[in-house]
Amino acid sequence: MADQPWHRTAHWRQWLLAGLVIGQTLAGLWLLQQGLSSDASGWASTLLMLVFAILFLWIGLGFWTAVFGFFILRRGGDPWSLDRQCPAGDPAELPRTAVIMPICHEPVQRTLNNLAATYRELQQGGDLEAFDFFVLSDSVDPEVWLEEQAACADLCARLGGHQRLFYRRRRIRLNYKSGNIGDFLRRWGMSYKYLVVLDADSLLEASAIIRLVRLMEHRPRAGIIQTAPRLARAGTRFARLQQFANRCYGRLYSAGLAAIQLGDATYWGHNAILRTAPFMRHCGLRRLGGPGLFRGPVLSHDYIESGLMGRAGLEVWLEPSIGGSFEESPPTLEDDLIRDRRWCRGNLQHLWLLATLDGLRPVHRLALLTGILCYLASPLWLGFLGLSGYLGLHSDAPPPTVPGLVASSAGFSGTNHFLMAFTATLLLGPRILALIDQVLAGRTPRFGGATRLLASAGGETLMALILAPVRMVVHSIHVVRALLNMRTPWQGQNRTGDSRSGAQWQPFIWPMTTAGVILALIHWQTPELTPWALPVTVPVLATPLLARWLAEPTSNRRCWLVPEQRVSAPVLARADAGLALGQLWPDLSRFEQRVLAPPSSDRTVRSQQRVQGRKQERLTRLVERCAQAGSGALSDEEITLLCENPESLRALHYRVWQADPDTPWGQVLARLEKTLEWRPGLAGIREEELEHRWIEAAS
Amino acid sequence: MDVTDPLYQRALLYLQVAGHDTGAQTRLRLQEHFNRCRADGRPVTAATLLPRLHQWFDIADQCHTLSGPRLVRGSVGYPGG
Repeated sequence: MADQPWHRTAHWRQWLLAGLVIGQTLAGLWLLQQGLSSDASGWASTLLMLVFAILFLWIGLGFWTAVFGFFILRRGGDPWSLDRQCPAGDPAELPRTAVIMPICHEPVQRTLNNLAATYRELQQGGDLEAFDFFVLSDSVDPEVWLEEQAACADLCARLGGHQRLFYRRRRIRLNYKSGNIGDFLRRWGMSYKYLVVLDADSLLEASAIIRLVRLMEHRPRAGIIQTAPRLARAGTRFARLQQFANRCYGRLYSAGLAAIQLGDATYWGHNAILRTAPFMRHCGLRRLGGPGLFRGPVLSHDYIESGLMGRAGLEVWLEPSIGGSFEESPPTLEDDLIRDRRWCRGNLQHLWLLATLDGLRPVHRLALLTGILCYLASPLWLGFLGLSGYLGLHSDAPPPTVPGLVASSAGFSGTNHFLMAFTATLLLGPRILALIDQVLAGRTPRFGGATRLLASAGGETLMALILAPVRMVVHSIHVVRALLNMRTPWQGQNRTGDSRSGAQWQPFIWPMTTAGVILALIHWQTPELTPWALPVTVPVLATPLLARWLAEPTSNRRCWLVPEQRVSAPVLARADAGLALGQLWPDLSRFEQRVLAPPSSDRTVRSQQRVQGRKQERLTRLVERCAQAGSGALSDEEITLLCENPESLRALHYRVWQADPDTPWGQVLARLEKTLEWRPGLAGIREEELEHRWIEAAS
Repeated sequence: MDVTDPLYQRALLYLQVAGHDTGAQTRLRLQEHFNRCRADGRPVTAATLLPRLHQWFDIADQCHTLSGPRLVRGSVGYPGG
């Protein structure tokens, strides 16, 4: 890539950051060495120093990024950002852009109402002409994907979105989300200059989308522009905490990150715009060919894709100043940790790519490394605690009272005090800076006033401290699982907090056992170290109680208030007011509804999908079995096969409407009759269900 | 005709499911069709009900004729290691 004017600024900022982080780490190492007792030498102290250096580098990187963000925001924003360089209000015609939403076993109504909110915003602003919307499903459960189809058809009818809103479900699911997007690109990518990628919980205001397109037009070198999504629509205590942290402190981190990376930023996988042609040309992801964990599809694709875009000579920008970009937090601690399990595995896979992929820009390599460290930091921290405990045991110093550093010290000396204060500053400094920034920016009223903001931040920090050991132990287990290449299921994320209440203990059994065993061993071997271990082990042992408390819904408007709770963004209000989509006869399964609804009469579609030979024989047998024994006689795979073949579905439709009252389908018809009697308003399915014609075509 | 006839009831249910109007006029038309078939010696049976309903009523034509987006095949490039 030829040198751009921003390169010099970026290099200068990156060297400054490196200097600060390295300098701070060296200072920390010196303080630690001073604090170690004289008899603490040998392999354990050397290893301790090494682990400490990595961890101190790691937390220092976060701290100094926030400091950069603080100064950038205090200066009124970064003059180098694309948003500042591109004038607003460009009247030029918008180029063709696809808005895609890859989904896989997501809560259908919520997801599609999010998409509908964005669609309506664009429609209202008169900018819809340039955009097509695609729901790209990887769902396997027929009850889910049939609901997706029905809801999409309903949405299409309600929005008047024919030839603008499309649904596609892959029959062969290769390479997870990146494979889903790749499949879309191979079919329709050439038709669009840009691609706006949404997650199932994403919400983008029309103004944000238009701004992204305009920035892309203004900056032809930009391959990806990433927004910094704000967390919104939190319903549980856990999600409220995450949302508050994101809204209160997040702006510092994202401003700092954007300022340091400039055109070498990273893609976060959603709420971003991609330049389609170079993305197609350069960003395909091969299956990994290494051993164990490093074999198979790439799980975390986004960082790699931004690296590949950079390698191809294009820029990747993070633009936190673009508002109107939202996503949701996992509703519970359990869901958060499940998501982390997947992300952990995906990030650790990047080790292989770091080793094998040449030509990546240094900043992108560093981003991959920090992603890996996000998870490796946990076992390192655990190891650090273990080593400091070991050194504490083998020194003549009195038993320590605080976990971590002082366990290995020769006493609670001045240098120890200083090192503790230093560490606390690195850990808590960004929070304090963020609060100062909110006050100086006059934003405290949006958080319910200065007192409430301070109280919320205090509560959030306390909870973060309590949860830190839980995350440490769970992430360590995730890392071990990933390195041992133990299977990680790829399934839809729980985004609503439903259906988890009964299983609070299960995911925490291993972390609790680990903490319990550690505590028991310490107490057995050296009872005087027990108080030192309690602050780390007790939160882990109490995780189920914590998780249950955090999973409870809360409508408390006094604590952890964020600006959107005071004045909701229109797009959020639209999504919240979403309608029940594709809801026909609730007492019938989706498959039963599909069979009973009149099939498409369009012969062109049916003839395109005509099957012969063994497959036809199998389908005929399935129709016969289903007609005789009801929908329960078919497996999910068989139901899927039937629903994907309009002729067979049509044959089954005709058969079931002949069913005698005492047969399984006769009973379904009786239930249908009751439903229609009780819910006469839902009897008219013409608009909703007969839309399947276009779904069949796109599927 | 006997309006409690199960086939007649099922025909009404089908029309309702198809989003067709099931008011007095439709019921009258349906009864006339049933009566005519009986008079012609080809009474409506479970097997012939649906084809005949599609013949008598404008059910299929209510379907929107939409097509998916035009396929424009492209390829994805995979970078070397």
